Amino acid sequence: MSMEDVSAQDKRALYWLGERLIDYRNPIMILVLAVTALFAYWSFQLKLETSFGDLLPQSHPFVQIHNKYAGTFGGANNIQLMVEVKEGNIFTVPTLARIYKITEAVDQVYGVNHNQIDSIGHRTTRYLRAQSGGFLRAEPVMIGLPKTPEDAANIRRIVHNTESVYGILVSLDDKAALVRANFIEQRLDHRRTFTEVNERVIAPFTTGWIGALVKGKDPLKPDEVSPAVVEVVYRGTPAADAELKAGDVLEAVNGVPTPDRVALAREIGKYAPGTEVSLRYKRGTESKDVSIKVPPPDIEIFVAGEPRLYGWVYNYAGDVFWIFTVTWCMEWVLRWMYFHDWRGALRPSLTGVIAAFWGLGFVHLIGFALDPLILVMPFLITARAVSHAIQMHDRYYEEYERHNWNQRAAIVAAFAELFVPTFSGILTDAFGVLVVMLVPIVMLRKLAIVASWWILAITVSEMLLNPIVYYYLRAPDPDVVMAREKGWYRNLINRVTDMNLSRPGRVAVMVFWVALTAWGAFAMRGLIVGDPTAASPLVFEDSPYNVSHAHIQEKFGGVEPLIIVAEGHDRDAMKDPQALHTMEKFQRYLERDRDVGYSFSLTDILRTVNMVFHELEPKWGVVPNSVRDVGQTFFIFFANSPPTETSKYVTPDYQTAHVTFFCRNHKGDNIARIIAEAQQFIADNPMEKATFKLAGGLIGVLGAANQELVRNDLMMNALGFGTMFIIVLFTYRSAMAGIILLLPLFISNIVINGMMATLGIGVNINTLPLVTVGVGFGIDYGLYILSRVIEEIRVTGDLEESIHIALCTSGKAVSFTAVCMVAGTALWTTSHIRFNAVMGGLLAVWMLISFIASETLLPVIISWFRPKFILKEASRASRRKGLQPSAVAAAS
Amino acid sequence: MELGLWSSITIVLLFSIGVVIMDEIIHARRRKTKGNDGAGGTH
Repeated sequence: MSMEDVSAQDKRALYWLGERLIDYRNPIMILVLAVTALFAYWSFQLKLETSFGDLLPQSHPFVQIHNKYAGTFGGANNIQLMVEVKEGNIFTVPTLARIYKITEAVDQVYGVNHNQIDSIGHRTTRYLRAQSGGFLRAEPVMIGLPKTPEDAANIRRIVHNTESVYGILVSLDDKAALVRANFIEQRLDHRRTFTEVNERVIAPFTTGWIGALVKGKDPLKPDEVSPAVVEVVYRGTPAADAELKAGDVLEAVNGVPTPDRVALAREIGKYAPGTEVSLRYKRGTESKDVSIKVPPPDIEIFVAGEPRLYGWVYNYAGDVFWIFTVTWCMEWVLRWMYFHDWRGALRPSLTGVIAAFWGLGFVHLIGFALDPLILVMPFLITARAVSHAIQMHDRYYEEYERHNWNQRAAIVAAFAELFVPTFSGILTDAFGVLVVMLVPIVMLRKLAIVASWWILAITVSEMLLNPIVYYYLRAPDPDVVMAREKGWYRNLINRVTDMNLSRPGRVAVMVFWVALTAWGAFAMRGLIVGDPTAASPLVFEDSPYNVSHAHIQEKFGGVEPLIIVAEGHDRDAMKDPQALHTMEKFQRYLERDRDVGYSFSLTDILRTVNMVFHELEPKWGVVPNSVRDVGQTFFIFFANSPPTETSKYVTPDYQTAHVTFFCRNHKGDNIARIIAEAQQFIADNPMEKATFKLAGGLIGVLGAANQELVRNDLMMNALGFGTMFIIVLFTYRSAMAGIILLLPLFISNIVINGMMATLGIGVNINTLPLVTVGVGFGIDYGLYILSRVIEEIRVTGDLEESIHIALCTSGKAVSFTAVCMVAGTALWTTSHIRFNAVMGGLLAVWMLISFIASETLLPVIISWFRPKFILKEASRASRRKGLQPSAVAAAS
Repeated sequence: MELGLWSSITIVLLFSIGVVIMDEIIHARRRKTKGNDGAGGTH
């Protein structure tokens, strides 16, 4: 049997299938709608959530070390909160009291690991105190609230003499103090953390500050409402001027009740500094109103760290509803203008909504949640579903005219003729995105499965339900159908097609694409795996998060931890002087890197204790040389501390400790360099009783993710293109078809990579899935045009004429779908989340480049190479009799 | 202004219904005009 016979048989089968779908419309429709209703129900159960563990490559050795020791030495989810005074220094009673209370408030934030807080106001930050009789005791820097200027001066003296505090938790200019807290990964709740830090940690001490400490919730009774009771009033403040006293209950601000400290701070914070407000307080049984002037905040609080960053992202995630609303309305107007009919606006929406329910419902079904950073993805897939529907609707109108206004014949013909490009387009998109599963990161694997399913779900609405929907919708007026073939849009498409297919046009097209490819190939050399800038690329450079992050880095040198574990072979390995000397050498070695701010290890404690033990003589600030001396020094420092406190430095059996490097940023190339330097040192400096293990902390896990991306990026691209090639090969039964369809896509890919490098967008776990989906989506335009060329050459027998007709018919619909997709995706550039804005913009450009390549480069390549798999169809040319549509007439 | 899920859905539904009604009105007028023109021609 010849290929032509097979093709004719296929087409007959498709016409038969279209007829049967209409015949059995009721059971099919009921079934599809019932399943859609179920998925819709699941869709509304969906939540926005980020599971930190899912973002990590769990099989990577760095992540395994991170998982093993995160609970002990600290993980990647730290917040850094910097309290900075506007004038003077932090060593005043009210400021130190607030630092103490802020530390307490941080300790009460949900998910904080109570033993992994570093602050001069926390019990675990200790200094050595020499007592009478030669005893040394390790005591907390602040044991309670300072009450007098002498207390403040004493704390200043302690800070200045403690190496592990000065410059690390208090800035060298005495203007800022740092509070670091580590979160338990399993209890991360970004939204809650964000709110609690804003309401309980920041507001009461800055915008809500009136010069008095106000008691918060009792940690032992978290569910009970605790009234705002004044604890301490400071001199020279509005609270003191109003003669408030300890024990007063603050009941209302300007008549608005303030049932607790949070509400009080919120109400005070509503008024600009200098505003007079009425404060009602209760002393004993008597309530009184006093007038106070809201003071300008004398301290500023800056917060950085991953949980805070994601908090901001969640805070901005509400943008999605605005973007959805505007996109929907804009697309409806565009489609109505194109089709001159509300059915043309409605039908693609039905496809998009049904596919979205199937996709989102499936996300919930497999126990996955939506990350606010991948919200562009559902929009992109829905836009793709809508694009397929626009193609089908346009073809339906064309066939309606061709079949002398016979609705049923038009429905079946549109279904059968577009089945091949639609189905192969969906398959290439769905299987193309599945290659993301190669990366061993749970989030990416789940995402690949969801995206693939969602894209496949388009077949349900677009192919199964579509003929039935058309059957039930009243057929359009012939005037409406004819109107599509008139007007400026049709004229523009005809004119551009003529120019494109003219001899000078073809040369211009080739020169343009060769030049663009050359630029892309040159620019993409700067593409970075990981983050390309010190600031977080997820939010804008001038966003509150990045401003805080930059300011903390500037004040404290580096705050992003790289934790390298010194894993002992046996207990007491960390008392071995050789191991400790190597750890110290390691610190000095890696601190030479320009992006490492400072480091900390057990040896810092040893050196300080040893020096204090020897009357603060600097020459004794060294690691002791014998196991006995080391053990004794440890005993001095840790004797009064419970294991829960000491384990953040060393395990209770002294087998394992860590060296933590605080890096200035997490730029992809810097992480790679620092890790390479660390590995080099470890290889050159083996320890007898322990081994260095890489790596925990934010830098460690990002390094692991970047390594996995580098390892799989090339493979993913190869497999992605390979998958699409195989599907095209089966669709058109020609390798040449694969080459001519993938060539424009390949060029688009190079150009986009070049653009990413130029715009400073790195390849990371957030960008990768979007980029991979973009690759697959670019091919759909080409599929519609190529299929139409083949279809037309069977009628006209002439390749050039067929290309011309294809560009004026399917090409016109392709251009309109591209306009819709580009406009819809580009709206994301208005998002407050920089990542979504940049990815939306980038994907819009990608869709545009793929579209231009399909409309210009693809036809020129077909015309130039005259592929056999198309030309052989010319032998079957037999002009359609009496059914010449106006579109073809207009094109020819 | 904050926009939630349900307010967003309400807006797009109302907008879509508005487009459908507007389109029907436009086409009804066009048919009516065409009908009048046709009727005029027979007289």
